Amino acid sequence: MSYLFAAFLVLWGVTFGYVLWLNARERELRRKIEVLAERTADRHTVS
Amino acid sequence: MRLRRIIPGHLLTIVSALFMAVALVFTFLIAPREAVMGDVQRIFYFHVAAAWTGYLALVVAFLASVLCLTRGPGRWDGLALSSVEIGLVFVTEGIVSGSIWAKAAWGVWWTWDPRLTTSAVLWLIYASYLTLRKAVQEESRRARIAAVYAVMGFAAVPINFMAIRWWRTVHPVVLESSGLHLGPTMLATLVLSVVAFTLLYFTLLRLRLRLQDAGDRIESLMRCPGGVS
Repeated sequence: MSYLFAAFLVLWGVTFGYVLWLNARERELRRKIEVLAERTADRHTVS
Repeated sequence: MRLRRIIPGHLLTIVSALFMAVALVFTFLIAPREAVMGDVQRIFYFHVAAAWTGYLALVVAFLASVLCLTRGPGRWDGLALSSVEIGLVFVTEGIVSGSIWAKAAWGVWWTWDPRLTTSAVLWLIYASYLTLRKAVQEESRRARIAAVYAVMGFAAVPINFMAIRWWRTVHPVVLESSGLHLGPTMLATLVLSVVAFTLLYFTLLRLRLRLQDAGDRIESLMRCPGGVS
């Protein structure tokens, strides 16, 4: 039984690890969007 | 055309989760206990499903790479990258679950059997694809080089699939020319697992393509001379 649960643990661990990585990528993109928004706001202020 | 729009939204996630839940119930509660191997045989349902989904993802990556070379990168490059990435996740799951099954069945974690060896080669080929992409900076050149590599690397997929038929191996052959030799409940569990994993692949692909689109748009805005710099 321990082999069975080890296999399922690893299987779902890898899947969730990938989903977490996707989530981290999304956070990174959101940060970039904020930077872009700030820069756009700055340009509007200057002009 | 946005590729991610081909795949419907939240409905896919919900259906995928439902199928996965049913597949888990079948795997642990409904499928009969195998007479020789006992409960450890239940690994088989998700091991085969992960391997199948890995193949599917790599077939999609191959087709996207061919389209990338014939019709220009466009969104095909993003699809190829996304599918390779997800394919690698499933190939990893197939290898690791197979290794755990091997320890229980054969007494060793790994043996240089043709199927296992070609699986390791397959994994390395596609892991190298991701590394290769990081090594090339210029976007269109990177797309072309990666597409050529993915098309050539795809040769490893049929070799891996046929390895247990071409060479002498200790790996069980599930799909034979005479069909699948499984009882009805075991077959239903396997089919459910394969469907659940296939749906999971499309769910992950949809998420990954959404990120790819957003990332591409942000990068082009940051690079755009008249845009934000």
